[in-house]
Amino acid sequence: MAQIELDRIDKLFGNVEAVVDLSLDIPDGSFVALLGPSGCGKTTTMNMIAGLEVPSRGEIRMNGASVVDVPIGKRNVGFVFQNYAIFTKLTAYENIAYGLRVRKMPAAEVDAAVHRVAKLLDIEPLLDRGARGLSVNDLQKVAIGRSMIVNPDVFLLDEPFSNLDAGFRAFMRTELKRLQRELGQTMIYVTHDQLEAMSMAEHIAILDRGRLQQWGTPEEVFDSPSNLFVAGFVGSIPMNLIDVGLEHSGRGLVARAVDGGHQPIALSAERRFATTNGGSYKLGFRPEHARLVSPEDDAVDLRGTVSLLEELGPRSIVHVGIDNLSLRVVVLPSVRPAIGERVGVTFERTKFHLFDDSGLALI
Amino acid sequence: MTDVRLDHVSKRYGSIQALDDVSLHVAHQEFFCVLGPPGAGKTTLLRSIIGLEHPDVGTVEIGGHDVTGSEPGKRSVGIVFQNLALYPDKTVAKNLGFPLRHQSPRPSSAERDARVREIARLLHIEPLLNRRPAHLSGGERQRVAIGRALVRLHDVYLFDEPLSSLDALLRVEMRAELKHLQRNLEKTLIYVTHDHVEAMSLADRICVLAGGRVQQVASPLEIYRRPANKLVAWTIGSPPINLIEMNVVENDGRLSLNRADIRIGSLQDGMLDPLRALMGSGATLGVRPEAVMLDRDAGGSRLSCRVIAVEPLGSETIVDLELHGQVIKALTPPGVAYRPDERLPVAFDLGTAHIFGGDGATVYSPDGDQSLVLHVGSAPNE
Repeated sequence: MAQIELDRIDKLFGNVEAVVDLSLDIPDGSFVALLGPSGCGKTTTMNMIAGLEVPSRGEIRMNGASVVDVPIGKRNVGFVFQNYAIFTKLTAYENIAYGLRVRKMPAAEVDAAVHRVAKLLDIEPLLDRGARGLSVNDLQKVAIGRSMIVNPDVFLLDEPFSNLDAGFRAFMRTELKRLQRELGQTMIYVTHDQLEAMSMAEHIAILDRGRLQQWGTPEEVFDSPSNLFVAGFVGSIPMNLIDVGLEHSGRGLVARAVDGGHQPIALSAERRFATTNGGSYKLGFRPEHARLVSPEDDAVDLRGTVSLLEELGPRSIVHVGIDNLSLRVVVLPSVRPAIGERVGVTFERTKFHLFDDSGLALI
Repeated sequence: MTDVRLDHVSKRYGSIQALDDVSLHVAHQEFFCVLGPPGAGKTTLLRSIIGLEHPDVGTVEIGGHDVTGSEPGKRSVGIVFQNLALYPDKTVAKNLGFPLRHQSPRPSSAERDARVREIARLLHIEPLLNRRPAHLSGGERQRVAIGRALVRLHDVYLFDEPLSSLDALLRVEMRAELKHLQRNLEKTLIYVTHDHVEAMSLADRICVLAGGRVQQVASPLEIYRRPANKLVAWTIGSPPINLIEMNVVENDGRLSLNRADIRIGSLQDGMLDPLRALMGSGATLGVRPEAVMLDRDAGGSRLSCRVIAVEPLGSETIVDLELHGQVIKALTPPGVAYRPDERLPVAFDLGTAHIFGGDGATVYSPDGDQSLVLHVGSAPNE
């Protein structure tokens, strides 16, 4: 069991800032994802928690005690990597038992532990098989089992599913989440895939260029992104972002799109924003919160022409071109506008975002 | 006219049958996607069209000419690979123009410039022509790489997972651009991918390949709505389709699907004949996650399942349920707070369900895309 605290961590490689002024408080027994694009510092952060790297500045505490000087072997952390290092000449059983056998645990206890772990992972029937004969999916489960069995205080996983095919990945996500809940261990999961982070973690730390962009639940980072980076990184379809000027008028806050003929878009009568008239802002709304309407409809916010239709099965994405702008609207598969058709676009007034010219969210 | 035709093509490497009797016809100017998991034979298929591999059996025709035995240089085929390294010390314009300098007969420098401009315009990278790769974003670099493959005029272009090294959102952006590109390019495109969303989004038609065999060739929506077999159904859709093994039982002339203490009695009319044929051998019911109804939407269903995990994805939530030792995934609107370990009423929308036979082949798929909620009773003695 471990509560982990990162207190103003910097990590420099030469003069490259890998991690800058990072503070995180990871509650005991929680499932936390470190999410960001390649080079964002997520793996470096994980390595510092593990003890594979030493921070250039700052403190790391586990259960309140500094571990910066504690070597990796004494931190009781478990690892699972993308490329599971499995002993191919050993059976699944021997691989899982390995960590306990090197600790000289009595054979009967090892046996009980291996079966308990294998049952949790649903791989009991495979225990006697040679690792070489296992599928990639089962190999990754063996790797998780081997790490789990030594009962680490903290479980660190670095993109463990990226070699699995998409269908099985969806099921491994469920298994890992269930496992974490049953074991109650603190789990830190490193990924560049927002879907993995959203689907499994209780809290997500979003990193970009070594800096923490937002810490929040999946719902918080999706519904209330703290800045343009998070807005652009979270969500399976990119958020629509429009350059606008803002003005306060009798009708409340009104935006005028730079592209799209400056038609006024009434945003809000009640909500107050610290904005300046005429400044440059970005208006953001998600394709899932946008709607296609007739170009003559009173509700229309922007008018354009359909430039592309992506029919993905359960839903389709309509691309609407407006001058130099392209908006995405998610529609039901029964909606099949023709390419070149004139359409109107509107969006839910409770679910839009405004960003200032430094990218910070105003809401 | 540049169509591509493979006729009974097989290719074996030692004990591995990479391609097994593959016949395909890619139409002139079609956007044709080959979709399959790793090891499906996608790359071998591609290499056979390029001419880097020669099939053991069968023929390859491009534009009506048999090219089965001919070398790559003799085929008018352009290729975009997954990792196309750019020359770091050359500008975008020089990178794009490079393949033309090595073409014979070598085009004049005016011709080369014109062609580079044309491609740059097509890919929206004209303003970048004087930059070096180090000063480009990931998406811009990928566009230059694609442009370099397109700069030489060919009849057919092959794309080998060109987006797989990009970040997820960039991939979504690029896939829209590729679709625009194909429309303006007016060429035959064969695009290989393991990403079903990419295939659905881009293709006029998709070929699902697995184990070296063609599983199905059809339009994206046709494949989604009427998969030829269990494997195709599993390959397309995210999260994947729920596959539930059931027994076919007849009681007093009424058919039902049974398993443990689930019993589905109100079946679609069209299901009855195919199911009767599976009596005794068992059937697999395929229910997509969006057709699993929970809670109030499940009406008076008597089937109740324990929630294993809840996956909030923002725009929708996946609820993982336990159905007699199996995980069932339901796709639900966001904002409903389901909790692990609570029990929920569950129903399957049989209006969109599929039935697969013992060999995996589809024996029933619904006509059209109507959807009708019917309930699953959980009482065995109903």
